[in-house]
Amino acid sequence: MRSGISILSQPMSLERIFAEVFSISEQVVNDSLALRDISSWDSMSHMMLIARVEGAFSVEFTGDEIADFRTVRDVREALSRREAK
Amino acid sequence: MRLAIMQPYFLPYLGYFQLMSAVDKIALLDDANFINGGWINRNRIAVQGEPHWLTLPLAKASQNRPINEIEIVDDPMWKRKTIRTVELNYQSAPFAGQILPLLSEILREARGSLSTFLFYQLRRLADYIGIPTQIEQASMRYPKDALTGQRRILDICVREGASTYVNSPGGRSLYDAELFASAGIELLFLDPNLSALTLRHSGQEGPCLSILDLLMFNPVTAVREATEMFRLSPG
Repeated sequence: MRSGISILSQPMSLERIFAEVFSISEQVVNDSLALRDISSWDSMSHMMLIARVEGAFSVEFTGDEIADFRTVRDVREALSRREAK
Repeated sequence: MRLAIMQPYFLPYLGYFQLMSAVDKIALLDDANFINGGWINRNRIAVQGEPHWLTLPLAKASQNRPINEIEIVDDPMWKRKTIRTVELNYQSAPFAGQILPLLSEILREARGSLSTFLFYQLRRLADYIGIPTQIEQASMRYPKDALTGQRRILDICVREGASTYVNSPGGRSLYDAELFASAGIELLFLDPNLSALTLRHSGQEGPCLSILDLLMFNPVTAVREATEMFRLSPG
């Protein structure tokens, strides 16, 4: 059982996850946004971002992929590669 | 000796305790500047199905001030309201009887130095979960001098006699493994492995709400096991 109770029913978008993890507006989340340019970014929030994305999209990234996530586009493309498989 | 260095977080999520579990000692980087919109003074629980922030009231917090120069506003009303909010939303959780008193004791100390309080609540939570890792406040032990970035981290590692420095995977781009190797320090990165996580939690955010959420719904032994679900990989 991954989740005992599921209380949030709204589908999660990548933009919403970024917005929630870094407390920024969804409107500023675009593919060219660099993680290091987000003032609330730190290595721990990066780890939380990965956990949120992996959970929401039922994927698991490799350590190298995680290390290479520099922009929103990087995360989106890694997700697309998973979906293509 | 394995060392981690991280800004202190308020009631952090599981990943913070995984990092703590991976090392013998964690130095709380409390002389780093405060991060507005970060996780230093706030975290989330679930309230009526939605994420809800618990936010420590601070005096004169800004991104230009180090964490250890910021004070908590001693606000009994905020403490009562926070406890009540948690109580109302988790009272039927199986471990509320243990976690609500723990939270009350923690919040009772929410006054004075933000840094001291964050150290205290991390120690209390780690002890409850059963993580024996030493916790230090960087500002108390390691003069900052003019060092920044990885030079500061390396300096703390050397002062501590660390053989290994462990960071979360988002830190890979920040560190030069060769620089650490030249000082005789191995650089490792935590790779959380949550695919087999079987803990109950409050929804789509998975284990990313405050650790309080997991502790409310799961035996502490299971949470302890979850803190050890990671791999360490070289930088």
